[in-house]
Amino acid sequence: MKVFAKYIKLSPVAKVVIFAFLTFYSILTLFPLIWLVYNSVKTNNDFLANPFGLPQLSKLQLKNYYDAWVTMGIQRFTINSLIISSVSVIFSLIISSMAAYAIERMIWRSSQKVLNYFLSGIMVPIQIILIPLFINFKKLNLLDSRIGLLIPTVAFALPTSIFILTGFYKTIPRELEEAALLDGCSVYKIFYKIILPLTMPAFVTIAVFNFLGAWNDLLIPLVLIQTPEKMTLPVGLLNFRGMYGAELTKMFAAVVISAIPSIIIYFVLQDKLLKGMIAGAVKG
Amino acid sequence: MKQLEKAFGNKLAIAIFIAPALILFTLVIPLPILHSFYMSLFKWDMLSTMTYVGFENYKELFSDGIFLSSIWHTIEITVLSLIFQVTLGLFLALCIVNITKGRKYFQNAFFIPNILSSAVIGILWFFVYNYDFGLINSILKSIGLDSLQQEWLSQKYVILALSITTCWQWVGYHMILYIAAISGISQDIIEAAIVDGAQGLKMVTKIIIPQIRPVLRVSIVLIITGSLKYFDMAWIMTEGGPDFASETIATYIYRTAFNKLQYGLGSAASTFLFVVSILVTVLINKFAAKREEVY
Repeated sequence: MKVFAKYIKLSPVAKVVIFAFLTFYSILTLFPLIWLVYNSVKTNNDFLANPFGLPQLSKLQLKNYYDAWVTMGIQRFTINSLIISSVSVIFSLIISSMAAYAIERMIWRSSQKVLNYFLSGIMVPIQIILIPLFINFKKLNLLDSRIGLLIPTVAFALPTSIFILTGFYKTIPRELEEAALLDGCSVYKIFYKIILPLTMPAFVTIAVFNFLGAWNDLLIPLVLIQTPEKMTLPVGLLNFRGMYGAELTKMFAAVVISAIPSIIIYFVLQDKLLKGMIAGAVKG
Repeated sequence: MKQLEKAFGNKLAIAIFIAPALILFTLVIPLPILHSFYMSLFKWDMLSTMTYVGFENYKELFSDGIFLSSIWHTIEITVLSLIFQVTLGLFLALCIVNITKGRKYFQNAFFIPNILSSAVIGILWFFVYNYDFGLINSILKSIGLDSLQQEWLSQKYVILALSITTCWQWVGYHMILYIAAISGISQDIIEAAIVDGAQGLKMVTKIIIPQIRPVLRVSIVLIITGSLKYFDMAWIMTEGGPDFASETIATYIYRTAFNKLQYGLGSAASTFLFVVSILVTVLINKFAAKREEVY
């Protein structure tokens, strides 16, 4: 990436103009978030009186955060989201790595066809399958249950995960498996003892990617979950939107709390996340 | 090596490895698509019995003014999203690859909105656009431009407002793809272009854009397919309103099935959306692939 700037010689004036534009646009982009944060510590009346102004330090309302976390129930939604996202990541890693191994490393005739079958799932708009899913889950008593929520979440993570993993498995030299085979390992043992440890870097990328996908998803839980106790963060937040009334700044605090985990994950694991994103998009 | 072929061609092992993914995927994605088409031939509210009506639901769909306008809104959002995100994304990417200082900050600043959930973004921008206390109107007021204050989520502006929010959410994503693509252009090509006297705009139009064409295609496909299933922002900020002014195909499906309990009609709309998605993807890939051969 450094290379490009080295070869294109821009005049100092052009560089300043570009820099100024980027700075201006970055402030424009970040300001709604900054506005959200500083209004989350105002009282409702202060906010309505002056929505643009900074909060007075003497009247900081940190209680908004306590109320959002405890009274509004953001705590419970966060826990629900954590459970669904983590468990769905674990399942999607196990299932997709097994499938990717069979497709890329095992020897059979239809492997590429099966890969294309999975990849075709990337393009399917989720709305299309929601009505049948809702109806069948109702019959199977899976509505309003964590397992019911996990099933489509994992299934929709499979296409991209399998795509990234098959690409990754292509790069592993056959000799490793041959040596293990000569030592008397079975295919299962090779997968478990040799391949899985090698897959860890790819797993981190896919895990971050799928975790954020599940964490941010609105539509599946909106359709499948009905009781507030089981709602995930996005659905729970949406439920409040209708009844904000006199609690606007508490709502701001709730939104800030919901945004924090994603931002932390991004800053800790951004290289992995961007890698997964670019790899996923290349297939698109 | 016979032993190798025997071990890695083990049919049972292949089946064991592939079965969980294959079964789960088939049950959740392809089968429901077929099921959705099947249900589109019936009238059903889940309480009474299903009645077969043939293609009646499709007739009803295409004589429903709200559905027809939802197609139009979806097209508007697609076009606006393409214009905003591709041009701005490309412009930002070109700016960033040309500077050395602060690059990380700018990338993060533009990408951050993309990692937030649409619930967070939708509620935030719902407040930003609010008439009485929203960020935009309060800025306009504080700089004395009171007359420019608007009801941003009104019939007149709602599609534009939603598209701007979506651009805020996604432009950084496309920018990152473009930066990766531009950085991947081989040095030889750039050097040769410089020797040939390509500078500035010429460098962009004659070298960079043709070189990153595959990534541009991916990003255009993603924006179009994303716009076709446009749901989150429209549902969170306006529930398709006011007066259906921001109803999209996806919010129509959701409302018809889960609010009005017209599962047959909703399934017909789903099937329509599926067919359009497939057609659009195939068309873009064909069209873009042909254009690429020229270069």
